[in-house]
Amino acid sequence: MLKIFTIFFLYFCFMANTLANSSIEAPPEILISAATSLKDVFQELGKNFEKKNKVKVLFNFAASGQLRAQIENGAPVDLFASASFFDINLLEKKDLLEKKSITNFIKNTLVLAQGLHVKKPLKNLEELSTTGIKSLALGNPESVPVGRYAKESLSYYKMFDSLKEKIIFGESARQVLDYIAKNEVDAGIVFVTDVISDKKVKTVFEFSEVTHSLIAYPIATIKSSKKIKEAKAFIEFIMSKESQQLFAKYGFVSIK
Amino acid sequence: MESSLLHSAYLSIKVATIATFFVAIFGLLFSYFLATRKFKGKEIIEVILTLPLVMPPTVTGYYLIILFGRNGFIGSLIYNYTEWTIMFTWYAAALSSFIVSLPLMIKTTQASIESVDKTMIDSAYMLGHSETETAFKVIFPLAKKGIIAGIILSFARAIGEFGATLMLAGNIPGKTDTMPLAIYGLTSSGEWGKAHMMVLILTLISGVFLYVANRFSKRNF
Amino acid sequence: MAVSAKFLKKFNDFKLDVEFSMGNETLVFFGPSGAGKSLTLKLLSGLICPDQGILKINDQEVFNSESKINVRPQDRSIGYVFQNHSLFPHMTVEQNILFGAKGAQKSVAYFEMKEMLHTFHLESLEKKYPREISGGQEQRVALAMTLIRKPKLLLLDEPFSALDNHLRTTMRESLKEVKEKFNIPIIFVTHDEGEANFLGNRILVFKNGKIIEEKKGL
Repeated sequence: MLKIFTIFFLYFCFMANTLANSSIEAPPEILISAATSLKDVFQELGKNFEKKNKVKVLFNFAASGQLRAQIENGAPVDLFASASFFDINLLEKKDLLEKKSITNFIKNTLVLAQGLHVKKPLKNLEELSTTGIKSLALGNPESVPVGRYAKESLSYYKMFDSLKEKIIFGESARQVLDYIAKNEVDAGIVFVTDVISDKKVKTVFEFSEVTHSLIAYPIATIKSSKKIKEAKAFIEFIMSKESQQLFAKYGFVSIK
Repeated sequence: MESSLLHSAYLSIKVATIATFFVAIFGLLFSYFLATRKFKGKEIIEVILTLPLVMPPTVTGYYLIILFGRNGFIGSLIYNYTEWTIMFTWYAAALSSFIVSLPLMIKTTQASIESVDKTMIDSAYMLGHSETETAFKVIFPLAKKGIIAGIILSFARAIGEFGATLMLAGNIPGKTDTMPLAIYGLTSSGEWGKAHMMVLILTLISGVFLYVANRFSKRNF
Repeated sequence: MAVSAKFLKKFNDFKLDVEFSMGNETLVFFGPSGAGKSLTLKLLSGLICPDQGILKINDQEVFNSESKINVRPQDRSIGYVFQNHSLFPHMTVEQNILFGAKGAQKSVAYFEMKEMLHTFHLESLEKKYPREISGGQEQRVALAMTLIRKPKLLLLDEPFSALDNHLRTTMRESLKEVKEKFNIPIIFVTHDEGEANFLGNRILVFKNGKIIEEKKGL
């Protein structure tokens, strides 16, 4: 009995799928691999782009490293928007990208953040060294971009070594953010876009751009893409004034 | 958002059901041969078949890409002939779930088959039944509990599959975002409310499957 | 000759070397545990292969290591009642007996099954499962399903060892009836001397993998 049901169910699935794929003239589709941190803003951008052009946009969200591995192995994507230069550079070296298309499209700001529940928020960076602050969360500088930038900034202020004993590493910006929000640590260093996405966390100090290397997000077209024209159009679109304003709404900093 | 929740649920059920279906068939086949045959290199095969159980799913996913990606050993052959790649399709999600669940099915079923009284099997042969007939009329019914347990475990593993799926099928909202991937995306952007909702639905689906499977195991073959 | 056999089989430290023949009679294999009685039955049935040997049933070669003849157990038409667990626990008495009627048309098989129920006094037990019937009834079902195909040879491996004394005596009588009714050669394995004498026309005494003596039964 169950066997018969299963067979019918499978048949139905295959039929439904075939029908879905063979429908009337479908609009061209582009597939964009984008870092998870860009999910919310890109989904809105994608909808706006679809409205303006007769192109359907699909996204593939994951960590930049995984996206890179997929592309190295022939993933059929048209664009790659990374949260770090590292992965874009690796792909460029393997000649998998359209070199001329590599564009930095937005910037981000590094901030020191604390949970809203903190009774006496920090007034300046030096207070991190006081006994009142027992733990500080950073991304792991070995594996996470936000951690690398945090280390650079703290080193700029010559505080990284002295704070070492208080530092706790998170494996992602998300994890660091959770530590801060749930009071597992007294403070943490994340991007301002992370703070904006979490109601339980607020910025207490902004790191100036001179204290760390450029925090910019690059996008590039994949060489094997069959939709080079549409991909180029998307890059132009996110560089437009309207899109850059949308980025600002999410806390990013315009590239211009 | 409402429609994408339904879509993820439908996708997860579809992927897990198909993966479990094939796991049941191949799992039974492999278990039967492993339980009843001795041959050179048997241990090596058993280790290979158990590997996905031991490896972190992301690593399994990585090896799946190396095999089935557009540039992969098998994937490139398929692409050269058909211009089609399994990457980033729901078939890839089903394949990933299949690979990670198969070892679970084999381990439980093999043990179950091995524990069937050999006298039963001998008796069936003496009464004129071929090896295939004996397998279906005697061995599998007697090993039923272990086989069903294997299928339940496989379904649970398949519907919760994340790491390998993420690599081979990608996390494409509207296309390959099974429930675990959707939940991951929601927690990454801090939408805990929606994430909890999805976890609840996932648990409900698994619960229904468990109930149906248990009822099925109590019926007589 | 109904059966003529010669087997050589090595198993770790154990060596079996036997040769015997029989007509349409009841032959008893007698001896202590581990002497090779059950092993010989397995070799006769084809479930285990001898290293060397010849087996003929009704003058037809069923096994010959020289000429590489080896008929499958399924095709040897030999009935085999095992020491324990002879019935399939997931089937009813009826289904167990029908399971033995392989190859017969459905309606014929059903008719023969009904006959077996009658012959072995199992009426009213058809729909019961093995766990619901007594030890003696179980062994009668085992005989029924083995004999429904009218095999050329019946092998019994200590079939009554799990039964109490009173039941054993009753079953022995039943076996005599079976011999009369079905009229096929029977090989019966036991380590009980009284049983051996009562049942066998001839008794082969096994020890350490060899037949050391032949006696006449009662």
